[in-house]
Amino acid sequence: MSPATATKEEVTRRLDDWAQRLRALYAQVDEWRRELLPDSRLRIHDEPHSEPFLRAQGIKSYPIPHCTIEAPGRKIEIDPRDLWVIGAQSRLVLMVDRPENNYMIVDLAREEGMESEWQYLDVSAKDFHRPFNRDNFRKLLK
Amino acid sequence: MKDFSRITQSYTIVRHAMEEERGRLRSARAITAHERLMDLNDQAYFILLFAQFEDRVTELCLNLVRKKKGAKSWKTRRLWDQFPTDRIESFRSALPFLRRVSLLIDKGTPHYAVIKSLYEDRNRIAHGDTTLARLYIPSVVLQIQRLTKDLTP
Repeated sequence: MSPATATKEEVTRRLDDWAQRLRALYAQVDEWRRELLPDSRLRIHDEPHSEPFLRAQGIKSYPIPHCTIEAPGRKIEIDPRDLWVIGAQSRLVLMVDRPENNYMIVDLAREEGMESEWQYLDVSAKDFHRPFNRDNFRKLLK
Repeated sequence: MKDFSRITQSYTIVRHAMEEERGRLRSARAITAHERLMDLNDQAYFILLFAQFEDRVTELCLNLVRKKKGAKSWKTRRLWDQFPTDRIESFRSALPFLRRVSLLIDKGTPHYAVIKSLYEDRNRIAHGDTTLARLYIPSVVLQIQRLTKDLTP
């Protein structure tokens, strides 16, 4: 599906699918958090999401779930940034404690409808990215 | 594709420097402005990488047409003789990019759809629409490498 040719219904369906993928990711992050930051709490809240292609479809904004983890002296946020990304299914920003400590997370599912494959950009890695899994999440939290 | 890996290397160096610069910024506003620059940088590299792919498609297609024009039978040759193959520029003008692609792979395949979609994105950026497209260059690099392999006989 291309933003230039997609119908409003297709765009809405894709937004709903994205929200569902994000909730599945946050459930996974919640499991890691319980183990890695036991004193923390995770909050999921909808925020209005807007992108140029949505506005082109007449959709001013759409509620998309964001994730915040709060622990004593710490704040970790996952901000869903873009749904329409050439080369990925979507991209998010993980912010760890400070705005400058942020990492790009992308869903590299080969096609729409396939299971999400979350990776984060690391230019020092082979193929530029590493899996966004429990072990790497722990490293990013340091 | 002669400069494809050099362009990829160059991208890695520039992206790395931009990531480092972003790491030095302290305000959310400055970070957002810097991320916009990173997006524009990604778009510029996308155009360069796609141009390498386009060049490879032209080369493969030209080889195919030259081979077909060499057929003994005029009945086989007559269609292919329509295409000028003496100069690459005239060949390119006679056959728009997607028609060149359709001579190499079936238009009904998913690969063709991916190439068409990338080409449309490329055109939008090349014609000045830099607001719509966000890119993840590492995947685009892999995608172009895979497609090139699939097109090569």
